[in-house]
Formats: sequence, structure tokens, C-alpha cells
Amino acid sequence: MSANDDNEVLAAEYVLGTLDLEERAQAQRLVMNDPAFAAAVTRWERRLGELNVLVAPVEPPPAILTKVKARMAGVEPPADEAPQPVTETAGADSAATAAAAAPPRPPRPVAPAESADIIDVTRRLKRWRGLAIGTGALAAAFVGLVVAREFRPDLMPQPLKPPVLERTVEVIKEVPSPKPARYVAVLQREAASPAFLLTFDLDKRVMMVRTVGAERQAGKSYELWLVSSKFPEPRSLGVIGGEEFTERPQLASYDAVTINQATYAVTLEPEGGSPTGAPTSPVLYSGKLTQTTPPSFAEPSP
Amino acid sequence: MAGAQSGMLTPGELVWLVSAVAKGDDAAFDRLYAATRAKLYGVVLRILRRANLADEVMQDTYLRIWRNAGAFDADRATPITWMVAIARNRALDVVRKKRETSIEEETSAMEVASDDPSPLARHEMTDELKRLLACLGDLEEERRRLVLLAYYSGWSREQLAAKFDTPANTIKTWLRRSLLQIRECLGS
Repeated sequence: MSANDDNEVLAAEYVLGTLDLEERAQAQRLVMNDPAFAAAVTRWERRLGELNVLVAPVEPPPAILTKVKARMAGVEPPADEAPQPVTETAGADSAATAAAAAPPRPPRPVAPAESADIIDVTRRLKRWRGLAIGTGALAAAFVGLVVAREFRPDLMPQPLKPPVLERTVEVIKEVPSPKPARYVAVLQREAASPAFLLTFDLDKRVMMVRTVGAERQAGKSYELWLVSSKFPEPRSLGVIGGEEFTERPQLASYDAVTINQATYAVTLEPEGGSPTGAPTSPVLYSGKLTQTTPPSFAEPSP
Repeated sequence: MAGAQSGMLTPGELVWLVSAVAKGDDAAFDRLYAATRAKLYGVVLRILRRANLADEVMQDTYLRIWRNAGAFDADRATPITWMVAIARNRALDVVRKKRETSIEEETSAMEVASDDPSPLARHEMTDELKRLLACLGDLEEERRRLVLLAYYSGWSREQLAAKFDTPANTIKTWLRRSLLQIRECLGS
């Protein structure tokens, strides 16, 4: 069992990328010679490979396709790093193909972030890191945590932005602003059953609630609460509508730190929401804003 | 132009493209490249941090995709996780061999940006991703960061140990427990 686990962990670490050069070579030999190990690697590639969606796409230089094509045809291009524009004389067919597949895109320099912005980001990240898990007795009862956030993407170097969540937001609702700060939280009870997806536009203090897995209950309404150590009682963020998407402007009255650090909880209340203004049922789902992308982007490395 | 040419590609369309590429369909290869290049470049650039290295790895990756498309198994991978695995593997080989590519070397490669969402981006919040995120959410905060940092930046245990100011053996233990926990949580 332990030997199995050892191989399993080796396969997982190989895929994760934490092995050193020698260990990688060892794993690669096993992939070639041990079908069970190779299968374990394939499973891990699929498991962890989903994380790719959180990586920002970056447009590669057009010359890459040209070089790949040349190598596909068995012609190694000269080791010339300068991107070569496809010329009319390169042969009409290949030129047309290359142009169609990789429209030339001029390099677009990323404007360096103002240093003040960097400091701001770093501070905020530190706050995130220091975020206390517990926000009182109610929080202690919360089960699942998490998910994803997009952290002031406008202040990050372009390739480091986790863009997908932003796009998720776009799917959820057309938010016109190009790149506001957005955060996402998944409210869940069990690991495998996210019930609500919260999306925050911090600049506008608007929150979008998407019902993912929660069942409608006749005569009842789901109500969303903000739980913060700053307030003695949970604050209602309103009833989550019957639609798949519910827009919530109530966050406007809270500051960014509170929004960042709060726990979001859902209870099942009488239809129309809690009559008392306080939760009348146990917390069904809860979650916090936390990052799945490394927070170290804006920090100096060790 | 890219959008008009490739449109929105579903996972099913990608599977179809990969199988066409396996038969040597050059035009299918172009479409596959157009649909996936920005994602793969983003992945390898994060790990390599240098445009010249990323360019080489991209070439190797797509050449391998061209040659090995026949080995793609839709039962065991999705096209994009398969392609990302090839790209990351190649990038990790390169970065491990280049010891001088240290973690201090942050971002000189970050020159070219895309504000044009790749065709893949629109339908990316898959059920698989939701499950994985949920399982990651069950890890302690620090271990979650460890796993994600390793995945996205391609850092070795040694580099992670420096980053987390923790002995490499402890990192190894954390990784082991976290990965086994993820496997158990995913139940597959």
C-alpha cells in the first residue's frame, strides 16, 4: 500500500512539477517501462490539468507557427530569433495558411504598474494571507470554504492575470466594464457540491449570485448573509431569487476589506426572507473569498 | 481575424480536430493551433519566464502534438489537458535543466499580451474544475497555495522550501498528503 502510494505520489509530483532533474528522469523512465505508472501519470494530468483554465492566455509571437510548420515539413529554420514576416514569395499556399492561422499581432507592451499600485496590491495580498479563518461562532459551524478570485487584474502583468473567472463573470452577466476587480466565491456544503457561485465586482460593489446546485424549496427562500467580525450579527444581503442569476447591489455599503474578509453564508428562510432580519435557520452553505492563484505575483521572491 | 477563423470551439470540436490532426490534416492543425496557442503560451511562459525559452518549448510542444495526435485518448484526457500536459512537461524539462533560471528572475518575458480571449475561454468552468477547486478548498490554506504555486510556476520542492521558508522534507510531506487528499476527494 505504501509502495503504491509512493508511486502514486511520484506520479502526482511529476505532473505537478515539483521533482528535481534526477527525479524527473526517474519518473520518465517509469512512464516508458511501467504501464501502471504511466496510467497514474495520465490520471494526474487530467486531475490537475483543469487548473489550466485559470492561466491567462498570452498571444505568442506569430513566428512560432511558421517555425513549427517548417519543422513539420522537416525543414529546420535558421536559428534566427527575429520574427520573419510571411512574404508573398514564400509560396502562396503556405503564406495564406500561416496568415489565416496566425494573424500577425504586433507585440503589445504591458504598461508597468505604478509603484504605488504595487504597494497597494502587496498590502492587500498580505491582508489576504493574514485573513483569519474564524469570524465568530457562526463561522465555526461553516463547512466548506473557497474558491477563486481575481485580484485587481488591472494592476498585474498581463500574463499573470487569472482571466477565466472574469470570463466566467461575463458568461454570468454582461458586465460592461472591461477589467474591474472581481472576486469569486463558491458556497458549498460538501466538497463535491458547490451550491452557489458568487461573483464580485469590487469596483462597483455589485455581486452576482449564480445558483449552481441548490434545489428550489417550495415556500422557502435562500437568503444570503455577510458574516464579519466587524458586526455582531450576520448582515442580510437579501434573498437569492428564483432565477439562476441574481444581482445584489447591497454590498455597496461595505468597504473592500470587509468584503474580502467576510464569510458568505446561505440559510433557508421562509419565503421572501427572514422575518426577523437575522438568520432563522442553520447555515446551509458558506464560503469565503480566497485565492486559487498564487498570491506571490506582486511580491519579491525569496 | 482569429475569432472569425476559429470561432468558439467546444471540447467536442477539439477532439475532432485532434483526430483530424492524427490523420495528418494540415488545416486542422492550423485550427487547433489557433484555438490553443494563447493558452499554451500562457502556461509555459508562467513556468519559463523567458520569451526565447517559451518560444522553443511552444515549437517542441506543437511538433509533438502533430506527431503524437494519434496517441490522444479521449477516454482518458480532454484535448486541452492533454496538450497542456505536453507543454508543461516540456517546459519543466527545460526549466529543470536551466538551473540559472531561478525564481528571482521574475518577468522579463512578459512582453506580449492578449486582450482577445482565446476561443477556449468561454466555456472553461467545467464540472471537473469545480470539483477540483472544491477539493483544493478542503486543503489548509498554506498547502493549497503550495500546490497551486507548484502547478502554475513549476517550482521544485527546493524552490518551494525557500519560498515557504520550510525544510524541503516538510514540503515533501505536505505535498504527499495534499496530493493523496486531492485524489481521495476527487474519488477517481
